[in-house]
Amino acid sequence: MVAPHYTDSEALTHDTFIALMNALAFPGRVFTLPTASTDESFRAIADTLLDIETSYYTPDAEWMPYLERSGSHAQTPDQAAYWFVPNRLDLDLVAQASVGTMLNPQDASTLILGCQLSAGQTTVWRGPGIQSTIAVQLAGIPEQFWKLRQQMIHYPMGWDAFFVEGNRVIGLPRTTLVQE
Amino acid sequence: MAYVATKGGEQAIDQSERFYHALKGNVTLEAVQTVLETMPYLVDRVLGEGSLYAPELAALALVQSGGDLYEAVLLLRAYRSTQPRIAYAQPITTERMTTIRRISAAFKDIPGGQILGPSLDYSHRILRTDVLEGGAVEPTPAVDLADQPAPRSYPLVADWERENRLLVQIPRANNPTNPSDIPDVTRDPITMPAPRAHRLQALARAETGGVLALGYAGMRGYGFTHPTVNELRLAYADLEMVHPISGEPFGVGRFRMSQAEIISSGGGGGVGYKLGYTATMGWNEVKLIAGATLDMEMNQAEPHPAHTEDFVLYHTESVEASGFCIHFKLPHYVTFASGMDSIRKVIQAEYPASKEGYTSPEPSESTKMVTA
Repeated sequence: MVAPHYTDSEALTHDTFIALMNALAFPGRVFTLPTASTDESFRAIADTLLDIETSYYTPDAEWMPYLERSGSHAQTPDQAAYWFVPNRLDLDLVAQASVGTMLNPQDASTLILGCQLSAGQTTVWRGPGIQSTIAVQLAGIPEQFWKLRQQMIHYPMGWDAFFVEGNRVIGLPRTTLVQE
Repeated sequence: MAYVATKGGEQAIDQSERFYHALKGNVTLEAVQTVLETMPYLVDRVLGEGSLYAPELAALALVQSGGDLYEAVLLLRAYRSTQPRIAYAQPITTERMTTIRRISAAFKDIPGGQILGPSLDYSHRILRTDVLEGGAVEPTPAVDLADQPAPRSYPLVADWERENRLLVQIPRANNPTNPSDIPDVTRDPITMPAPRAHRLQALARAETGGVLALGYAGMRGYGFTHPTVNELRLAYADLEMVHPISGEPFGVGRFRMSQAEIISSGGGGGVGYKLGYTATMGWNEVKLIAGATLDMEMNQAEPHPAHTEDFVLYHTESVEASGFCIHFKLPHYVTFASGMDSIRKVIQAEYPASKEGYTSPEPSESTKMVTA
C-alpha cells in the first residue's frame, strides 16, 4: 500500500508549525521550536511556511538561496507574504509591509524577525489569547517599531509577526494591543 | 455565532470520544485494504470531494471516520492543507486520456463509437441476500477478451459538433497559461461572479448529494435545462511533470478521472446548442451529470434563485456546509439565554395573569394594536 512517509523533515516542519500556531494563539508566551540556533529556526520556519505558491522578502541576500529552495519567489517588501529578517530590522522597510485589504486581510505580510528575547524594553500586551495582560521583553527592535505598528494596523487589516531567538519564538498577531 | 467556550467536562468529553470509537470497528491496515478493494466508488467519492487524489488515504479516512462521509472528507482536506505545493503538473487533454467508458445519449453513431465500459446501466439491481446466509456465491464470470484491444482514446463529441456548427467554436489559446495564474478555489476565497476556474473546481469537489439535489431540481422543472448527456467519460489520465533540469516531460502516475458534457438548446438566447461541463477526480457519474446541468443553469441570464452561482457553489461545499450545520450542536447558551430573557420580559409585561402555567394566553390590548 502506498503511504506517505513521515520523514524527519516533515516531523520538523510539523513541530515548527505547531509552535508557530500556538505562538499566534497565545501572544507573548514563549514557545519552543525543534531547533538549536536562530539560523536553524529561520530555516525551519522557511521550510514550514514557504512553497511554490508563496512569496518572501529578505534584506539579507545570504538567505535568498535557502528561501528559494522551496520554489517560493522573491518579492518586494510591499508584496511579499513572508518577511525573513534575521537581524537589523529597518523601520522604513516595516512601513512598506502589506496590511492586506478589507476584503482579503489574509494577504497581509507575516514578519519573522530575529531579536533578543528576555532583554531590552518591556512592553505590556493584551488582547485575544491573553488572560488580562502579559509583559514581554524584546531587544533589537527599533524604538519607533511599536508606534509604527499601531499606525499601520486597522483591524482586520494589519500584519502579524514572530520574534525569534535561538529555539524560542513569540507570536504577535495583529489583534494584540501593545502598551510601551 | 455567539456560543460560549466549553470549559470543564474534560472527563466526559474523553469518555464520549472513547464511546464513539468503541461503537465502530478498529482502524487497521486490513480494514483500509478491504475498503480500498471493495468500495472503489465510495473511495472515489471521498477523494473527489476531498480534492486529494490519494485512494489509500481516502480509504483510511473512511475507516477512521467509521464511514461518516463528511468526517472522511474533512480529514482528507485537513491532511491536504498540510502538504506543500511542490510543482505544477502538465495540462491533461481529453484526447490523451486512457478512456474506458465513453457514451453519448445524443447520437448513437458518435465518432469512435459508443464504449459502454464498466456499468450497471442496463442491469437488474437485486440485493444478494443469499450472501448473508453463507450460501455459495457464484463468482461473476470475467470479461470476455475481445479479439482486438479497444483504442486507448476517443475524440470529443463536442469537437464533431463544433465542426458542424452545432456548438459555438471556442478559440484555442495560443499562449500556455502560467499555472500559478490559475485561480485556485482551495486557496482563494470565492467572490461572485466566480472565475470559470473557481466554478469548475468548486463543482469538482462539491458534495455529491448537494449537487444532485440542486441539479435534480433543475431537471424536474425548476430550471430551464432538459439535459442531454452529450458525452460521459470515465478515464485514466496520465499525470505528467516537466523535469526541472532537463525540461523534458515525464510521467509520475495515473489517476481515475471522469467528466461529463451536457447540451441543451433551451434558454439563454442565441441559436444552437449550449454546453455544460463538470469533471472530477475519481468516477462519479451522478455528480457529473447533475454538475454539468448546474453549470448550464448558472449560465442562464436569470436563473432560478437556487441555481445562481453563489447559491450553488456555497451550498454544495461539503466541509463548510456540514461544519456549519453541526456547529449548532455546540453550546449556544448565551444566545439562547438572551432570547429567553426577552421572551420572559414580554410574558411578564403582557401576560401578567399567566405567571403560573403559561398556556396560550390571550394577547392584551396593547399587543393587539402592535400586531394589527
